[in-house]
Amino acid sequence: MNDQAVHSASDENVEAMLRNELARGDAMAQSVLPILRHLVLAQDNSALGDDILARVRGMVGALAEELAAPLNGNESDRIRAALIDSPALLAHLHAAAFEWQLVERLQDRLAIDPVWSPLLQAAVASPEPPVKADALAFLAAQARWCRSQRSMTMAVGELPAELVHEALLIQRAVPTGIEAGIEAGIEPGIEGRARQAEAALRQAYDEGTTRLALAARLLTGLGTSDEALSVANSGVSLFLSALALRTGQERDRVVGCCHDAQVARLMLMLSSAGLPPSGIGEAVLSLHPDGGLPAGLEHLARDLAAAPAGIGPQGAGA
Amino acid sequence: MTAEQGAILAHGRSDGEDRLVSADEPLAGLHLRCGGEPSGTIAIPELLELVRKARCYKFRLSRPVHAQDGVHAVTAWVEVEPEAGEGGCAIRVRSWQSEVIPVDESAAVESRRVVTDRQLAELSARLDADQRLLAVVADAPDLADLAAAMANGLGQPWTDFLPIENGNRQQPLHWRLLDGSRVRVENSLRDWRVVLVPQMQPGSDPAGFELLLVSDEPAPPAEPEAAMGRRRSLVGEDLAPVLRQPIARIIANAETIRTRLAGPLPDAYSEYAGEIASAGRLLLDLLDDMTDLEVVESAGFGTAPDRIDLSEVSRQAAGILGVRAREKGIVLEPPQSSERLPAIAEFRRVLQVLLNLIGNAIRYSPENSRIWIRLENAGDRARVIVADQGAGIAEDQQARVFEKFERLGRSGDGGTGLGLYISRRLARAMGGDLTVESAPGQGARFILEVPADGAEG
Repeated sequence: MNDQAVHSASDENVEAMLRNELARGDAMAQSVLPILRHLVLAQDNSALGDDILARVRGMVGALAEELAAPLNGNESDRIRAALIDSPALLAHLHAAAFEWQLVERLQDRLAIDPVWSPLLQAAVASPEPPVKADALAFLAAQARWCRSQRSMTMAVGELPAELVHEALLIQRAVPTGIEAGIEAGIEPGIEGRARQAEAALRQAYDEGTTRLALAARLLTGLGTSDEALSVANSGVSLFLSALALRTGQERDRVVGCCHDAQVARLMLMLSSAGLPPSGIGEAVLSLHPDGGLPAGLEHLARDLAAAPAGIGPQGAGA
Repeated sequence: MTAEQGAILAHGRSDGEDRLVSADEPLAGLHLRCGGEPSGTIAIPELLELVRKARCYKFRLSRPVHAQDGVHAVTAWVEVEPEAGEGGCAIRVRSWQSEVIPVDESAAVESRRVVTDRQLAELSARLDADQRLLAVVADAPDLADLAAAMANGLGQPWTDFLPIENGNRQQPLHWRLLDGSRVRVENSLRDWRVVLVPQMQPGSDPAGFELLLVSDEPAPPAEPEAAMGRRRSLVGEDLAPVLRQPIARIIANAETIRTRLAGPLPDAYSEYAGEIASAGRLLLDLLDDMTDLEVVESAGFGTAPDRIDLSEVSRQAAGILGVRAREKGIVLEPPQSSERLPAIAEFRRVLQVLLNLIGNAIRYSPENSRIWIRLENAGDRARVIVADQGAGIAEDQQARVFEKFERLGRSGDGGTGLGLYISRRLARAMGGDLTVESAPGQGARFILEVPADGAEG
């Protein structure tokens, strides 16, 4: 009796499994077309263009290789999968890829150098030693970043602190993961190596030497002027950092706002950073030459500027 | 803001609990102006977050820190490096810029002040154009008397109830002169300030006022008795009502399957359904017992004693359990209906104890045996004895059967291990007791003892 019961139950299980499998297949088949349509239609400057996808893939791969290297190198696939599952990390890499796309576009069109912008030139020539030192440090970091973007890579040490912490947690989890326990090939001692590798990375990491921190530090040292909020003057990377500092928004979010579909948000952000309408117009036009400025920009900016309390944490202090 | 190349403007150190154990100026000053204490927890919010992150991540962080001290807005570039060992951090300030916070427009300041006062007001009242009371609301305990007096005196000027400190009492005064003045409140130790918010169209006289009573001191702590309150019981009031219905449905449906009401079914499935139903019943019993347990263990538990006849209660209990006894072929022998034994106890509780005792006897007696329910008059005590022909209880186990969740190693027989514990608590709450006499192989005698009713006995 019992045998029968178990038998019929497992038949049901097989049926249920097949049903679930088919349902999943249907769902995938249905989502293929919209995604395909989006990708085929995508222009070069789309948020999901071939260029961006390839770059994100490359950067995830480079991070996975770097994290897997001290283990034994065989774990990079699993680490790569875990990294992609981290929304914060993926968003950061997407922002980096999109920033590089902006850098290249503006270099082509407006001859804005990826590294050597007028603002940076002035800072390097500054009579104030700390500003000069910060400017030189950023110059080196930005040049390094350009090279790594050209080769579609990213180093763990260049990530913001929160993401480094997350990446290290992923590295720590991989050798002890459930999956790993099932596989017979898990070699002894890998856990100890992972712990050593993590300690070494934590010891070596210094957020102050990352490109983004150096940009923020340089801009903080220069003080609050509107000069940094001009793309032509600052170059793309410093412009984005300046806008993030001024509005109190995360830099990755600010990068996202430079997308063609986000003109309105970019304008609001520039306005809340305290730019006059002329400055907003200039910034928007340099990033989006094809799209004309919406009518009524002047009103919008003036109304916002007249609001009693500015938007963002810097509103009161700036 | 200038400094030598690579120089550090200020050093600081925090300990493992994020206290600023040492700091140079200007960091130390900002910490104090942000409300921090010397060697207290870091009071600059963004710096505190930075230090906590560095401590958690165990690596160096460098970020801008923004802060305001009321007069200046400060932006500083700060490096934080966790130190090995004690878990503290080294703090290095690399740049420091401070700007005077622009003064807001007076209209904006005024509207913000009104919003704040409305939030902080512990009494608010509506006044008409002549500052006479229309309505009053208060929630602070030390303002209750005042609010009651004001509610009784609607139509009078508010200054009748709130005498203004060191002010002349010549009414009517212009509202602007009264706004912000200090007032005394009877029965309150706090200092109070009156805020008058006019309701008016620009250019015309006020059509009425909002009167707010604000104090800079917090309300005195609530009376301890209010804080004590009655503790809500978890099982009895929260769990039992919501669990009972679904469990009852499980049992009812399992019974439907077991009795094949919905169609023919192999025997094995019918038996499974029977097990589901009995497990569900056990769950219901457990729920009832837990509810009782909470009641008998609560501090204020007592019974409502009444004049009852133990003979009558015993016969009722035997009647209720008669069917279950017959299922096992057990004969129940309750007292004869001619017998009487008056006692002082709560009918419901005595019945509950007897149902438990007789139920246990049925459960643990062999089939085709007898259970006797006898009465005994012992002067000022009245006793009911439930005796069975079961396996009996060894001497060393007799005390343990009354303990909470004691099952004497048994399981799977539908008991919860709470029945005897609850029964003894009930018996003692009625001024009596519950005891057992037994020897292995001799059956068991459970004796419920309650005060006898001397007036009738």
